[in-house]
Amino acid sequence: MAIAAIGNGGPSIQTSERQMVLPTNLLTGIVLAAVGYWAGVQLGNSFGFNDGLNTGVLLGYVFASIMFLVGLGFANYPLARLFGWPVAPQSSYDEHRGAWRYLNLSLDHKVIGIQYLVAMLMAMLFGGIGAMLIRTSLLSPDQAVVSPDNYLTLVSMHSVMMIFVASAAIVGPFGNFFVPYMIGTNRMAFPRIEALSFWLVPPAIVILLASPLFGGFPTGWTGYAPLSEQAGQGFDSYIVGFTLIGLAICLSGVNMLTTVMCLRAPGMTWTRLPIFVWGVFSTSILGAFAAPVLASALSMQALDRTINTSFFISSNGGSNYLWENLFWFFGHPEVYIFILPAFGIVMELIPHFARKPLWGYRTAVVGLLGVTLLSWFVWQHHLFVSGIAPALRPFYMLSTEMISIPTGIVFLVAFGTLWRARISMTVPMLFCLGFLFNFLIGGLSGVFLSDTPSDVTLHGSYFSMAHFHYTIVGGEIFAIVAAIYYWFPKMTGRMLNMTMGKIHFWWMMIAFNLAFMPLFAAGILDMPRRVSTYLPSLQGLNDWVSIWAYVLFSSMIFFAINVIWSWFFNTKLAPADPWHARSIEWELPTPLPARNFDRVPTFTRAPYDYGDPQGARPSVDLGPEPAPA
Amino acid sequence: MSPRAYSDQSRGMPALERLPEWTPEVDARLARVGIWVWIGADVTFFAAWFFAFFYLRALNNNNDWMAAGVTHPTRAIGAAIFLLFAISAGLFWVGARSVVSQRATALIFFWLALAAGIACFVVQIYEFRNLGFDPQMGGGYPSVFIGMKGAWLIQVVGSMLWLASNIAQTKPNGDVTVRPASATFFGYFLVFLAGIGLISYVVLYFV
Amino acid sequence: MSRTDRTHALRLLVAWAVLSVIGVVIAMQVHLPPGNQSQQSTDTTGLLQLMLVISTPVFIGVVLFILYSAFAFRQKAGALEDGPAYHGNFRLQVAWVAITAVIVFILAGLGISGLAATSSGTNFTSSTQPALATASVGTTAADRLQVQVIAQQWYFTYRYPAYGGVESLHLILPVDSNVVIHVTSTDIIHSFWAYQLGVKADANPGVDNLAYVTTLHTGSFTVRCAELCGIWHGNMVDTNGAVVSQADFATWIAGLQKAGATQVLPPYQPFYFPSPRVKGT
Repeated sequence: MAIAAIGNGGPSIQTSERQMVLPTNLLTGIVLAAVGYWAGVQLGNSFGFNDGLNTGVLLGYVFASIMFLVGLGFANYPLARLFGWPVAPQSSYDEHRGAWRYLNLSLDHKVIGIQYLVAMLMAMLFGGIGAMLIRTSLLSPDQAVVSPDNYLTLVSMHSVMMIFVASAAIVGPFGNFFVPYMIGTNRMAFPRIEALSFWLVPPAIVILLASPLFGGFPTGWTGYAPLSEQAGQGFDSYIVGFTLIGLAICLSGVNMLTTVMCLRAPGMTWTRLPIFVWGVFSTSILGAFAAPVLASALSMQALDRTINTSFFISSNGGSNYLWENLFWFFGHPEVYIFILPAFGIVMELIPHFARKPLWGYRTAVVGLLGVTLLSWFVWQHHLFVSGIAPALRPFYMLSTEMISIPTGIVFLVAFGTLWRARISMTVPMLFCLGFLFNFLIGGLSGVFLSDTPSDVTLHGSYFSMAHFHYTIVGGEIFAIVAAIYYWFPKMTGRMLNMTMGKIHFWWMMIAFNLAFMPLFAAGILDMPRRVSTYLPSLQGLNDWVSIWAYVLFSSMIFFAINVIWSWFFNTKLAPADPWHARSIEWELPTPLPARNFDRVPTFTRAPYDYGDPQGARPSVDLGPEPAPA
Repeated sequence: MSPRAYSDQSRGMPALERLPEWTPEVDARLARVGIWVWIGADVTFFAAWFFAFFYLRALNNNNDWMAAGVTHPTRAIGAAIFLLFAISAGLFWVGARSVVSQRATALIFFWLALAAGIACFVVQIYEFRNLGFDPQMGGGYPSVFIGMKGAWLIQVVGSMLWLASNIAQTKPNGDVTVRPASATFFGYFLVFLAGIGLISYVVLYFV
Repeated sequence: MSRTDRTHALRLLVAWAVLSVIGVVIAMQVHLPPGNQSQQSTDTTGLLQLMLVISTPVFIGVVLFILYSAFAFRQKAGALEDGPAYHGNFRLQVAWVAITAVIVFILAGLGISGLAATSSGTNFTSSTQPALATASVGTTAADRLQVQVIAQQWYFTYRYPAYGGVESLHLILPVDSNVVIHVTSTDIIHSFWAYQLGVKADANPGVDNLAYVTTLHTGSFTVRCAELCGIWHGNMVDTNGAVVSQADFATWIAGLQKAGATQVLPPYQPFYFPSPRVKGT
């Protein structure tokens, strides 16, 4: 049974990552991780710092992660180099076919894409369960269901897990799988780094899930100090888990940037790049350069919690503003990391289902790059009421308002493409239109928040919660679902059931809007974020929201059933081009050959060349047959 | 565990280098662009530390940026740490230039670079144990000093390990000899790290 | 633009105009909080109303376009025709960007003007400290009542330095007064949010964060913490805040002074530095 539609290619040209002392695979990784955790705890506690045993837990997690990666085989290549063994370059597709390569270190970008897809869906499930528990607690205005510290742990777990998902859920599965195809190459720039960026994610998820065993942590995803310094060992999960994800974002960004800059095939000029690749590229700029600031700030948190430095303690020369500024300097580009690939997906899919070229392609690119540039200059809008210097507020208000200009360009381009089109209302298209509606609301609510005088009332309330759920869930998650329905046939060789898909769309769209729209009202009516109690007059509203949240969750379960059934129980092979789309990945067969291109392709046309009076022509020349040897 | 497990030539398969996506020219270009992007990312990493320095110093909360009794550590030792690493970076750079034409000479430079780097590490550890202040007593400056230098040191250790592996691969048919570009661009990273060492020396010991 | 283009465009524009007018009329009727108890809350309500009115035609336009396209520009059943190969229209793109930019700059300008001063008479005054210093915003000007809000886990205490530093667990303010609130904390970050007064300011240890209120009407208000501060964050609420007449305020504070300031807090300082926590406690 094939996990993915990656068939048997020609003779394999492969130098496999052979074992060093032990066979390197997932099982070895898990065993070594346990050993590493134990060793780290012993070492950390032996220093005798006055640290509430944080050093042990932190070192335990760090050693566990490193040993996990060693056990998987990531140390093989560096050690082979170190021992002076010949190291030929690795090919980017696997010698061994079979399902086990999905559970091990693989350098094939297609395998890594599938691995990411499964990991992201599982993490979303965990985060979603957290959300259901939160909404259950909020059925009652008192702390009748869940105790206050458990509630905060639920909030923190849900939010941090979803942040992990949102950071990588588009670039991970779809960027890694399709960018090499779209630019016409067989490889990513650094396949080992690509694999590493994936394999950092499971340890991060496990470490985060371990947090409740140590008492959880009360800070939410923003990790504000000094509250974080009151937290017990549960907060160490946040530090290490978020560092691993930050490293994954950074490495993925470096890899993607280098790949797109260097490995484009002849004819694939910057002005012919599919807009999805532009979305991934612009996100990678933010990922590569913002994530290191997070790593730096998290190490300061770690030092404060172990050797008692005082980065964030104002009575000892530190400042809570240091964390706030460093965190949000990363945190704002982070939310654009969420949405830029989503813009890429929506602008990629609409032309194919409207059967028209992407209207205003260059404007779209300017829009994506404009968002990328401006996102560095807005972070203090999270700090309008924090007590920052008053003279800063006008600048950040202006920059934040200005970022709605390039964001609006996405709507312009989408509308231009829909104008006079021939729209096929397929399931991916429905989700793209849903994206446009949801992101409109999310974006408009952002304008309310960006104006400082109104932000005074709205900051820290459910209004801001509704804003970011509309943009991230209504925006990015809808785009992810669209991408799954769209690209599933090419990635797995199976079509998802489209009747279930249409039901899923309406179920999810209605439930999402009915669940989150009232939260704007809750915020305006004096309900702050992250609370388990609220005014009794708001109970009706909260109960309504909770019920529709359950309905929304069940729609995702329905989707999961569709995915699992279609992937594993439906044996019908999908057609090579079910959407009749003109894009390189659809011009290749299903199942995809193990080696993307046997000869260097030449791109001869711009993408989205619908409406061409000469009729459809292939956009790429897959090269002449090689001369007989 | 035979080393031959890592080479295709022994298995009678066509050399990978003949595939268009694996030619040394492609690898060289990827190494050049990749190292610049990585250096850019590392710039923002260290920028966050420098921000912490200047921000906490400006705030001087509770007059505890540099509490009474805390002084800058000895400048001579700080200079030694920076200079040793700069020498290491310089030696490696020179070696990498000639690794194809004069492999034996390049190897000597690489070994000296490694020695300088290890010496830098040793001196830094010595300095951490003889700071003249205890970061556990709090204070803004001690915290930033330990954090910034510690982060830099971790990257020094990582780059010395990679340098050692480059030494091991500087032999006939070794990775560095067949693909010298990756060694050249690794040299860029060492120079960058030395540059950060210089700036942090000035900031931490004189400001 | 072809004749069909113009037909579609005209239909859309007319529908948009009609629906927008209806929408704006409805938006203007919506009663938005936080109310009019202070100058700041009055102006916040006005600003929220304005943004709702501006958002309404935008929202209607986008939704109308999506729905119209979904019905008017459909692929015929079973067919697979391409649409026309429109690649863009430079003037239209420039016009869109220009119009969005103008709206954005107008909103930004209004917001910034609200940040420029805190005295009443300026539209959309914000409770935040003014961005531009003017003569009327001295923090120790005699015409302003100084109140210190001290946040800690998990309640607020209010101190009136001008009246001998008397402390109270409920915030009582006189009507028709300019008040400067000094928000600070003795442990971690909290946020002082007086909903009906339209004031929010974070409470940071070691920081004196200023907020400005000009009270207009008597009545009660609720104070909550708006920054996550641990397990009882949601319980950090006081519904007994009140704006009272000046005479009532004088009586009340005289009563507090007679009772003697309850020294539950450290001696008065502009801000407080918490002592270092011991890890693991």
